[in-house]
Amino acid sequence: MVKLKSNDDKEFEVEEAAVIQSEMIKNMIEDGCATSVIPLPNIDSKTLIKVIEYLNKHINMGKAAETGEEDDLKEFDEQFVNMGWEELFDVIMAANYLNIHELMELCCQSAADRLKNKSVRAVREMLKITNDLTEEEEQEIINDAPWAFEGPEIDDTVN
Amino acid sequence: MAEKEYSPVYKASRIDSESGEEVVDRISELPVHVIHQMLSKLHQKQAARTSVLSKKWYYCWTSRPNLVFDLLQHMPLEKFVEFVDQSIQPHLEQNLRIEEFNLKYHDAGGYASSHIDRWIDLAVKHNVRVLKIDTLNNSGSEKPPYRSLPDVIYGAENLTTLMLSKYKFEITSSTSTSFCFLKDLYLSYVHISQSQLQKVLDECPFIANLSLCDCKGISKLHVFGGLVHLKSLFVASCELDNVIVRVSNLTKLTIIQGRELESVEIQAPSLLDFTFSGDKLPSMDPSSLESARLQFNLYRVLVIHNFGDVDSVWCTKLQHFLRKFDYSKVSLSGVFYLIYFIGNGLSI
Repeated sequence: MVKLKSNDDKEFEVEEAAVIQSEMIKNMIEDGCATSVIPLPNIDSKTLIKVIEYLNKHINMGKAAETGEEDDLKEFDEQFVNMGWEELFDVIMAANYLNIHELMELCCQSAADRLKNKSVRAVREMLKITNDLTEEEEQEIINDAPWAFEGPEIDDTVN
Repeated sequence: MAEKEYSPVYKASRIDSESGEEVVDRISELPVHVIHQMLSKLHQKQAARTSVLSKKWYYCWTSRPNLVFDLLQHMPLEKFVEFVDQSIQPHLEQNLRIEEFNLKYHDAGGYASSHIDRWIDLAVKHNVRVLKIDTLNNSGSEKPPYRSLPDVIYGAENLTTLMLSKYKFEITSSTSTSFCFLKDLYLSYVHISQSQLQKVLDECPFIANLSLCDCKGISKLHVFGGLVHLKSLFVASCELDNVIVRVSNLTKLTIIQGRELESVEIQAPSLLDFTFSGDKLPSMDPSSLESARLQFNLYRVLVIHNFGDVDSVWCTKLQHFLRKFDYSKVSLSGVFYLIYFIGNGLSI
């Protein structure tokens, strides 16, 4: 068992087999730096609980493939990323910090799926992006690739 | 556009002018490599559209490691060349990584050839891992000439995926190929001789996916033991007369060939998914299969008076073959419609 501590001082015990899906922790264990509690100053307990839920479910990917639980895992993944943008960013930041490749892929795919066909205006609003380009700069960028900004499929709604 | 360069002191929050509340731009706080990963999941058009979101996003777009040009197949050549050149420029200037160079362009006249060779050269110099070049014009009925594969590809040691069309391999036994970590090799309308293919397979032990479609130069496809990582093999319309597959971990196999195919021998104990189209029965043990699609084209049956011993022998063999499937787990679909004409005695 490996102990992880969130930035709001909550401790969680995780099986080593699950937690080594994090390259960062795997390296710590291999280097003998994981003898006591591993503090994770960038991750709050709410996010850490989500990440641990993912790690526990994805323990031994190979075993799932053998026993035909792949569909089950796919369903879990779909449910897992069914969260708001804020929460998704927290999980992405945690997955990036802990270096969990599969989780990063899953979350980035989910972010990409949500942005599919969205107009520039819609994306800015959904993600609360502050536009710091001037109108001239914006037009110059559009002129470089006008084909990207036209088409009937572009969706201006924000949900 | 130097004035638009990304400033690291990005202001991630602002005060909403209407509500007076602070609006936090969380996504722009993400590290650039995370945004790159997201961009790589987006369709090219959507990804390009993010360039206008803000300065940070413009920087992320122009520095993206996945250079994909698969949407602009009908763009006039001059514009296309200008766009690709412009996209690759930041990578040259700032020595940025090129993870993927993926180009799809209808280049029937071969006018883009010199540019494409130049881009391949640049991509390989920037340690490209995924290289996909498709210049086939599917609508044309005439077969375009093959082009020599640029030598630089043989030395592309970081390649994991190589997808090519309209090229001719020109390696000899003394050419050294460096892409020994290749995992996916997809050749479509490519000229490659048997010994050249054999050399590539011998030197790439990690190959997991191999696809040969409409390739010329090979009459015998022999895929043997050394490729323990090979999971999927797809062969279609390659004028093969002989296929021997002996691979322990192969799970998916597709063979779509015409009349020229004389014999097919398969020893693949892990095979789960099998698609076959041809007029010869493959020699194999299908008991491991979970899914099979079979299409046997019996040209003979079209000539009614030829109906006789040859076909009844064939039918017996087919019956025998079909008995070997494990029907408790396999989903089998087959096109036996031609057999139906002659198959009164066939109970399947």
